Amino acid sequence: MKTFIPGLSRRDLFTIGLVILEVVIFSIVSENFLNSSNLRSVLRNATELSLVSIGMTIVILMGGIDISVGSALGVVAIIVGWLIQAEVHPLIIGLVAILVGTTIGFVNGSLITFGRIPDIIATLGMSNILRAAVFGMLGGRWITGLPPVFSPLVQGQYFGIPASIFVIFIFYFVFWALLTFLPIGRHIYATGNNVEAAKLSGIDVRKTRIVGYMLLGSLVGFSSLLYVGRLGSVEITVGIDLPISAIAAVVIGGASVFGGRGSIVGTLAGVFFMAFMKNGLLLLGIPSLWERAVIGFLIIFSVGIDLLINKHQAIAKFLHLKTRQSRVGEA
Amino acid sequence: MKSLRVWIILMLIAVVVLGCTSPTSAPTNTSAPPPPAQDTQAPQSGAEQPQEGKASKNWKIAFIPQLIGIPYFTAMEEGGNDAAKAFGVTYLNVGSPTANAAEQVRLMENLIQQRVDAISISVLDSASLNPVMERAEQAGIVVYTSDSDSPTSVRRVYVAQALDKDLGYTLIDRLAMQIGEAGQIGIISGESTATNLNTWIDFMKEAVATKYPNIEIVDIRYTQGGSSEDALRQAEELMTRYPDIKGLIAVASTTVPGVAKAVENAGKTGQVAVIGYGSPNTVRPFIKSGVMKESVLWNPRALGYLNVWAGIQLLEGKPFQEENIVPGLSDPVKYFPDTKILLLGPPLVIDANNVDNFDF
Repeated sequence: MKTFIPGLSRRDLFTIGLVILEVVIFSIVSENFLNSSNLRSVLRNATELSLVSIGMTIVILMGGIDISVGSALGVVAIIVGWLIQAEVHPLIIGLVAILVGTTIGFVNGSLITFGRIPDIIATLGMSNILRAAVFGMLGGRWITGLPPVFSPLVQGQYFGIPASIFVIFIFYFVFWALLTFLPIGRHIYATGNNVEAAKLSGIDVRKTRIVGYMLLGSLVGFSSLLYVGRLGSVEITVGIDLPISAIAAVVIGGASVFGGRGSIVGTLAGVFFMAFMKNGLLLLGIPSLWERAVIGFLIIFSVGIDLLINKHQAIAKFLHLKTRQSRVGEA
Repeated sequence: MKSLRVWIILMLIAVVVLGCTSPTSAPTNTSAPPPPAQDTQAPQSGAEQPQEGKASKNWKIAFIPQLIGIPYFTAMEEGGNDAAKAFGVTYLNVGSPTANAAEQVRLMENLIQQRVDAISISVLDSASLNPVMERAEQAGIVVYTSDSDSPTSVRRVYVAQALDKDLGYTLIDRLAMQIGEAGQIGIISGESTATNLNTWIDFMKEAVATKYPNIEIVDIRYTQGGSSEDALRQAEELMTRYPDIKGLIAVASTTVPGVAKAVENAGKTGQVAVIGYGSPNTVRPFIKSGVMKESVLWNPRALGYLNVWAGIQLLEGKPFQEENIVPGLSDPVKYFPDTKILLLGPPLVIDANNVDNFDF
């Protein structure tokens, strides 16, 4: 899977190629696509999704999934809104946001490892609980008109470059380094590849899982700052399409839903492939309904491609997953 | 250790089962029951409480909103409580946190068992609710609708906030005035399946087609679950695609902050007018900052108040007049006998002058 560019797999290059192709096509068919204010808007509106998708990649690499990220972002965003209204120092708000997000991730991870509840069920449960918390915390009144305390993180410009680019670049660099050079990165890949082998080689699989969910949680926590900075309001629908978008980005970016294979660079390409697609469809005046259909098609297409490319590998993984499940059932 | 694990799993399952529907479907419908408003000096409080008009007994009147937890239905509930206090009846606001017709059926069955005297409901889906409304009537309970109607049901009266046509036309009229009756406008709605939103959009189109030849609706966008974030993105992109666009309409209440914020972010305050069906609390910051001049609504608190008053009239067998004086409401309330609609009044236009008079 190695390519001539270090650190990028063929699948990553494939997704990046798709994004470039997409940009070229939209530039030709829509005169409004390739102008700086449009690109800036696309970028700005994809910032939170980019960060959450890093965490989603980590979780999916371990063979897990988290569908509670939208509700979790909602809960943290409400807390951030309250703290802004109380005029707490932004640094403290930032720390609280990351802390709450990480705690939610810890709870998810613990339910999954110690409770042995399948990832999708545990996070579905959490998603419902947190969504109820969003209802309860807002109490039928939305938070609006927040001062732009965190807006510089998404709206600002430094040296003529939009702030979003810095934020995305820093986070992707840090997490790329973490996954590539630190033991936790290898543990995450190993856990997703083959749990038994990982255990035999002395990896603490439980700890790895929990840390993975905590990393995702911390990214969700930070993203809530960006959300509040960008919208200046928190209403009841906060984050509802986030889980699906993040999972779609990861899958389009080439990560295997069976775990063990994928990269955050691919995911970033997946995020922007979707963002440009939605943008381009709107600029072409294609009705909103098609947006969802197109995204749905892309998800199936991506997974289909993966299965074709890695047919044997995937089938082997799938069988392994089944045996693992039956073993859990006996326990 | 093992039993602990079993317990955790059981609790989780319980949470998932009880905890409403799926997380994505849950808030999806939030956009459906959008915003509100009516006449300006409506009963902000039941403060000036009427001595006359006390109910003859402590009737139990229940209301099933489409969902709970959004400002709109919270305001209706408060209005209902005001009326209950003013007239000396008991008011029950019974709702679920998700807009779900099956849930409404279940709640209504419960209320039949509880033997309340009257049930009012904001109908989500007439097909699934008509039969249970009939069962309630057979059980001797007075059934009527408010906020959202089912004309094909057995309901005695529909307590309406404003006529759909008035809402659509008023919004276009106000926007037309702001943009000098000419230019491109875009519409951003909630889910494409929300009936009430679509009805208003149809009347907006009609208003533009019949009254404003120089206004062009360039696009109608729908947002996933009425998400404000999605609305913000699409509003920004609409402004990119139509650089000369003059106005943006946010139809679902949840999309109002997103659309207003998009115009603010694009630095087009004053160039692109934003209007929508947003509640005063939602639009207040945008009216203060100048992004929005007006919002069109009715007063859901007054609607909740009228809802309870109407229930008392039905229970006491007092027929509605063509014009009714409702103690506690400043303006007379019209009744249309042929459609059995009790109408709160014309839509309310919220602007910088009156936005601070409301709290919903």
